[in-house]
Amino acid sequence: MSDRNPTLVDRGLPMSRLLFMMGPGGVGKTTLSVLHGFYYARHQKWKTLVLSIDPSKRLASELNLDLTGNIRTIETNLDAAILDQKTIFDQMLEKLIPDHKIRSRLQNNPLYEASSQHFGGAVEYMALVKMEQNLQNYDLIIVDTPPDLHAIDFLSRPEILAQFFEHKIFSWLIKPAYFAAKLGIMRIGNQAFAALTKIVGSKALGDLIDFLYHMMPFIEGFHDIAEKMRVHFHSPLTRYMIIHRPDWPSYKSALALNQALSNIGLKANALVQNQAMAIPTGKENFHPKDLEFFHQILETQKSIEDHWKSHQSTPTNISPGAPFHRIETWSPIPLGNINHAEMVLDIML
Amino acid sequence: MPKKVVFITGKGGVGKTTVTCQLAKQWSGSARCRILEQSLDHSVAHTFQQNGVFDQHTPIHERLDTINVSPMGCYQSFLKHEFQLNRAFLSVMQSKGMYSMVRMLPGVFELLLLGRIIFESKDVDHLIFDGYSSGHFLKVLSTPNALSKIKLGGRIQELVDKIVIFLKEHCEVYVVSLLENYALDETQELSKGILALNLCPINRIVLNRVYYGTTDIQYQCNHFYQEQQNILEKYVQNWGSNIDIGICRIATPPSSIEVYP
Repeated sequence: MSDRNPTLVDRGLPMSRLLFMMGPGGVGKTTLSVLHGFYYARHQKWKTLVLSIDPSKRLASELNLDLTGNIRTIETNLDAAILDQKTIFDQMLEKLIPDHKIRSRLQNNPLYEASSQHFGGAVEYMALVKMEQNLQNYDLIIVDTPPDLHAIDFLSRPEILAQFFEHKIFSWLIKPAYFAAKLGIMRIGNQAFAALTKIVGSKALGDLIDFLYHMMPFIEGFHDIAEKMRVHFHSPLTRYMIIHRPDWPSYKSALALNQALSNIGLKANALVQNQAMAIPTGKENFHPKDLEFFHQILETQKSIEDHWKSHQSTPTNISPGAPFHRIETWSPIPLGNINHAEMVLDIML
Repeated sequence: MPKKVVFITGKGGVGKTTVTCQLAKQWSGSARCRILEQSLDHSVAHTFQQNGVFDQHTPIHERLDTINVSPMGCYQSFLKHEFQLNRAFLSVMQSKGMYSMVRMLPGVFELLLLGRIIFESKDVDHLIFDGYSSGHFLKVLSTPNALSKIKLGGRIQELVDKIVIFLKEHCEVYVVSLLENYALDETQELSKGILALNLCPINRIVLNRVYYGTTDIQYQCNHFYQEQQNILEKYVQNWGSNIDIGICRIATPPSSIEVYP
């Protein structure tokens, strides 16, 4: 890394900035993530990483990215990666469980393969790991999140892990069960154990206990990373941009996201109306039915904006001062080049 | 119409909920229907201008209700209906600590959701699941196969087997898309993924927000219509004759679903 430009982090800033693009599906989060990446890399000269945790892998096809999740350089100052669950899982395993024998035993446990792909909420943990791995390497990490409230899932994942630890499942269930199994005693006077045997069968339970016992350093590793990231999520340098399209269901989803952010103690920094229509000049030759159609769209765009602005100024408003930005990307007649990022410039600066 | 259990999926933002509600409206004219969603924002209930409540049936009219299932609700439902645990066991299993551990295990939540769908479909003629967007949906649907590789025993294995049978015998998938290249490309990818699982067929593709069509070329917007027609003709050839195509045109309120051609 000696040939890279020193990042702001090297020059004394405590951490990378994080920018989360959130919103319901199909509003343009991936496109905006990429465009903002280009903008900050080219015009602000910030070393930028665009990271996608969207399972549809759109970023991958758009930028021709490595599907195994390795970071690829797009151009000077701009890197991108998608999240590949399995790769990160394997990388973490190697780092946190250095003992080769235990690791290989784990990898042979049938639960391991299932876990690396289906582990409850794994994508969210992987995202946290990927971000944490790169905090020192970039000035800005732009995160293209999964659609809708799944984005909140991943921001609140640190809490769920914390619960697991708080309830000390490890000490009162897993550890004793593991040692009981080793000693050949599969029945222990433990109601939870007995109940679990009924649910998953005793062989699977044995595998599960073995798995969880050896995975503890791994789970603890996640916990540490999650805690660290939780601090960053609350940092004043972190920005949350909620994106919607100009229709009411999309806007309502945006409002729900706004509320959900607020419920976990965070707030939106901007509301962006993407894919909006530019107002026709009136000199075009439109069919009356089309005119009516355009009129409806413009009406909707405006009333959403009015709603957000009045929503902002009520006494109970939850995102004080979050500005509204409209990005006009289409018109019944061709538009010139649009600089999306400039349209929401004040989000980061 | 024989009993239908339909899973609605498609790229994010294409209008799955809109199409789900349209279908439910159509079918509940003559049969008992239920819409099931698993969402944090009660989008189905709100479409019908009702307040959403988790894990309770919200009536829309005498032949239609909707339910928004929570993860905890699915877990509780599994504990209650899949086996009669004595009270001591039940209270242990219901504890927050147990629940948080169960939630972390591979595929459990997805499995419980599928089990809940089966349960909720029992006392209605048709159930429509307003499902997740493509990637997430595929992950849920691939859970039974993935879990079959682990030699599970006990009630979970019975549930996995039951789900696989139910999916093969009763379920079908409808994919919603827009009439645009990037959306249809994702639809192709998704369809391949679903068919590869060998569980439920895809019987319908619903094209949403289709332009109503000004065919008179003197007006400047005819190009929207023409673009969409070109795209449609290009993709229709790939879908084969055993997939229905539904068209839902742009309109407020949403228009009903026409059959194409």
